[in-house]
Order: sequence, then structure tokens, then C-alpha cells
Amino acid sequence: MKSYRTRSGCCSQIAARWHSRRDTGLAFVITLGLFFAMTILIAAVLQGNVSQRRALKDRHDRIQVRYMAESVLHEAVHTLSAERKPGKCERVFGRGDAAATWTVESNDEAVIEVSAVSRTGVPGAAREAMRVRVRLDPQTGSASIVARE
Amino acid sequence: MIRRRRDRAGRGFTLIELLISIGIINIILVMGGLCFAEIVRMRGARDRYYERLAAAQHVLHLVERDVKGAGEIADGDESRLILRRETSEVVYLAKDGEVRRIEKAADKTRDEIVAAVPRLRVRFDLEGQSPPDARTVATTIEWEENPQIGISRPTLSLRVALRERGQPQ
Repeated sequence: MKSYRTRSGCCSQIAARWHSRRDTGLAFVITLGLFFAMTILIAAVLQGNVSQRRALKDRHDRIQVRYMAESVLHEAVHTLSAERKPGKCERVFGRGDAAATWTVESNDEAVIEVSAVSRTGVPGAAREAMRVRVRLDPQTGSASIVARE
Repeated sequence: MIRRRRDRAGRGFTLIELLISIGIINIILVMGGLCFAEIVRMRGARDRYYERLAAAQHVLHLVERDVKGAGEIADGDESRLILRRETSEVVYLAKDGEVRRIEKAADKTRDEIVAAVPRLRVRFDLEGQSPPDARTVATTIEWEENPQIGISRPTLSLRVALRERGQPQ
């Protein structure tokens, strides 16, 4: 039987130890450690991907809801400039609802409250709410946004 | 007895042990490779999503600005929108993921592609009455997305009304 053991040189000694059956247990432990490390790494990557996907979806929902809110706000300003009395408008979009309610506070000022929600009824759905102050010009009949709260 | 133990100690790995080790290392390498490929794929899908989102937002921004600044919606259908201003006319044409904005004034015409994204669908809906009495435009942009990013069909929609006469821009 050929032996790998030799007394010449450090590397040869390491090689001899590595090839030794006595160290099979150590090799097994190292391999197992590598395997677990790789499993943990993969789990972390997959978890990262899932949270990244969720973050992207949430971000897209927020953008979508923002556009819904802007749409009803624009409609509210438009209606206010045409008829200066309190009112509301509700819109159903493909993936959510938006509503605006406005009150005329004085001869030249009105307040619009806008709320929009994506995927209505789903917990954790993106929401947008804003309160907008509008200046009404009695002479030109126009309405313009002066402040967003 | 001692000699036999020494012989066994110096015998090294058997073929089976070597094959198992190589197999485990291969599994680890393949898993690592898949992991790396997944990271690269996800990053690519995310970058493409951001590009499409930016294009869609750009188109919505331009349409919003032009509708607010227009005096009349001259004509329009699902893929076409014509806005008339005091001294010029703005035409939007949407087809095959390409959105063109043509601004025609008395002295010059400006034709530009404002978005060119494959599978981007832009739709214009004139609400209420038909042109030239229509006052509101709903612009809807949707596109096919890689399911890997979790949003299969992203949609952005914005309704904009013409400003009333005398209303500041």
C-alpha cells in the first residue's frame, strides 16, 4: 500500500494529513460548514429578492395612488372654478379609489380634501391624503392652488 | 495491530469518498451560480422597470402640461390626441410603444419621440362630450413587466381637464 506520509517539507506533511483517512471527519465537517454557509447565503439572497419585490410593488402603488389623488384634485379645482359651492367627486380607477371633498370657506378661499387608496380593502394598501387650499378669484372666476398641507 | 492502523491511516480517500466530495462541491457551486444569476436577473428586471416607469411618468407630465395649457381638445381617440392652443397645435401619437409629440406653430414644426419603450401602451380617453366640446382627458399608460419584480402589469392613469377661461396656468 502506497503511503503519502513523508518527512520532507511542510506541504508534503499537509498533503499527507489531508490524505489521511483519520482526517475524513474534519473534511466532512468543513464540507458541511460550506454547505450550510451556502444555504444561508441563498436564503438571504432569496429573502432580499422578495423584500425588493415587495418594495417595488409598494413604491409603484404609491406612485399610482399619487396620480389618482392628482386626478381628483384637478377635477375638484376645475369644478370649483366653474361653480363656487361645496361638493365632492369620487372616482374609481382600475386599481383603487380616489375622492375629493371641498368646502368654500370664504368668498375667495376654499379647501379641498383629497384621499386615495389603492386596492381598496386590502390591509397595507397604499394611501394618499392631502388638504389643499385654493384661492378663488371673484373677478376672473378662476381657482388656483395656493397651499398643500 | 499497530501496523494495520498505521496502514489505514495512510490510505487516503476512497473513490466513493472522492465522488461524494466532488458531488457536494458541485452542488454548492451550482447553488452559488444560481444565486448569482438570480441577483443579476433581478437587478436587470428592476432597472428595466425603472426605465419604463420614468418613460411613463415623462409622458404623463408632458400630457398634463399640454392639456392644462391648451384652449381646446380639437380631436382624439385611443391613440391620438390633438390639443389646440392660441398660436399652435400639439398632437400626441401613440403606437407600438412609441409616443410622439408634434408641436405645430405658424413658423415651425417640432416633432419628437418622447417615449420609445417596447410593449408600452398609451391610451387617451376623452371624457364627457366629444371634441371639440370635450374638457377632460384621461391618459392611461400600462406595460408588460417581468413577473419577477412582482408587478405583472403596471398601470399609471391621470385625468386632466382643460383650464377654464380666465383660470391661471
